[in-house]
Amino acid sequence: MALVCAIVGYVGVATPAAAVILMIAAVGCVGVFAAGIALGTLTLVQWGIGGLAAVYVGSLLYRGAGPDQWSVLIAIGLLASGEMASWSIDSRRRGSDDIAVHLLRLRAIALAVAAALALGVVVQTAAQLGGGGAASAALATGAVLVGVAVICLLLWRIRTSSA
Amino acid sequence: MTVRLRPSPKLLGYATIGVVFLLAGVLFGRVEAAEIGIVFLAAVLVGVVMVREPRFEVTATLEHDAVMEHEQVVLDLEVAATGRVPWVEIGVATPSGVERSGKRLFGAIAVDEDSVRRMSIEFEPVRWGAFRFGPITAAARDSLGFFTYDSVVPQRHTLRVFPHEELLARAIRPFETQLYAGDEVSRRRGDGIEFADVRPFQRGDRVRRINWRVSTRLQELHINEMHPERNADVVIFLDSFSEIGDARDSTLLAAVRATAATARHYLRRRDRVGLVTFGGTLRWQLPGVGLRQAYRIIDALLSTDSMLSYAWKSIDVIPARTLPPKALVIAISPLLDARTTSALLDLRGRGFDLVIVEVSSLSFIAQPKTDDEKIAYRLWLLKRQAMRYEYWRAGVPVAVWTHEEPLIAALQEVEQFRRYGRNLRIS
Repeated sequence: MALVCAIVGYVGVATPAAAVILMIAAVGCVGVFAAGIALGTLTLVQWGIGGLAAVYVGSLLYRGAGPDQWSVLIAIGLLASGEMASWSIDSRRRGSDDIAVHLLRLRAIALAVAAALALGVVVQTAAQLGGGGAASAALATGAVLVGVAVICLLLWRIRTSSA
Repeated sequence: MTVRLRPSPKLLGYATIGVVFLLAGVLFGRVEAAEIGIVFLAAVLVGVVMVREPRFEVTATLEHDAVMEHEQVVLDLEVAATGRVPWVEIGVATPSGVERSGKRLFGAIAVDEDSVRRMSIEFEPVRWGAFRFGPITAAARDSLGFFTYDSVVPQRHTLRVFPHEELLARAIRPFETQLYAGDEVSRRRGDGIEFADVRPFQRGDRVRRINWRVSTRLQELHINEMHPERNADVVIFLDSFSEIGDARDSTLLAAVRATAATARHYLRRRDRVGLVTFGGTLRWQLPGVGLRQAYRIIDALLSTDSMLSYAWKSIDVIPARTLPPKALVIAISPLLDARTTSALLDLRGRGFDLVIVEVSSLSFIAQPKTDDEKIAYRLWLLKRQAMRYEYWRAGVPVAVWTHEEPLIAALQEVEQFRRYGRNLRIS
């Protein structure tokens, strides 16, 4: 929750006071995120994170400013918030979990966040060096292809395991 | 063990966020949106690369397969993994009538490669019956919780819970005894221990039976007559047409406990005991003796359940051999169904030695609150009293038994009625 609130605060500081509607949307997204944690519904948490990310991008578009140097941290913050929320929801059971379960999860989250951070930094550096234009388009296209490949891999794994 | 893979909503959410923001980055020309998408897709990629299908086996063993009511029973679970399982949760479907009793509840566990984890779950059966544990489900996940592998353990375990029986010191004496030796002092005369009468000596009488004191006084040989010890035929007539109460306590649960206690008492006395479960489903157990018969009756009782039926049933549907002549018939019933009351009167009409233990349903009924309810309740009580008079007029004793009280009190009430009250005229 603290991470999410920090992101909202950042959006609020960066956005001019005229864009009240963006702030209302951001607070609404935090509400959805909090409701997801309180009710133990992962889907609501995802909607909250997605909405908040959309508000952030919307604020950048509204401002029309240059590249944001903190964007990677914002993205990592959103990812970490989602992971913490899902961990909290998964741990909310009647019985007590093994400590090893939590240690393994912590390790996996750290690994995922580190990998995401590394990729994000690479993308940002490449964008700054390339100065936009063809390099950015190529990078984005490559990332889209990676995304499609991930989804294909995912579907293949699900099919083979179910069979 | 069949395994089914299920992606979590988190995985779909992350993949959707990743793709949508990547496309948004391309469309709006903002690298920040693309970064958000890449970060989420990177997390998905890490999750997909890291995930391994968990390979483990779950075996469950029930410590005892037969226990008494409220006796703890332990289900031992063993999770043997051939590969590392970072997160697995075992679920056991608990049947109605059995509750978890242990304080510790297990959540998720982690099992290392080529290792075995053992867990014990304690249960307490709150009522008698035959219960089936299972299916046992195992839900394994990867560390990030992107995939869930659901599996069902095909093992099922049956637990038989015997009713708590009250140990009866005395019960109802049958009017008629049978030919075989038993513990019941017969009303006939013959070889036995209990003194019956004195009569003049006849040819063939045994000399050791001569009562010398009486013979000297009367100047003629007299012998003692004795009551022989014989066995009796007892048929327990259990009414399962209707019941009032819940899964923990009801008139039928109490009636079965009373049936088990009564059957055990007579079987200990070497009497032949039979069982007729008269209800939506008719079940019977032919009269028999011994420990084997006790187990047969208990097994028959464990499957007793009230079943809704509108079919009118009389005692004609009961096989003739189930009700032997001169048998004592003990009916244990809440007397709530007209079919039972009619069948019992029919039994009495055919000359059976019948007694009724009425399992009181009053403690299972909510007390009336409104005036209308109070009037209806009083009318219902009067109707029940009138029904009892019907039985008394037919010479059938009815003892009302509240299940919190000892059963022997109700049985002694019946015994007193048979000894003294049956000669009274009830008009």
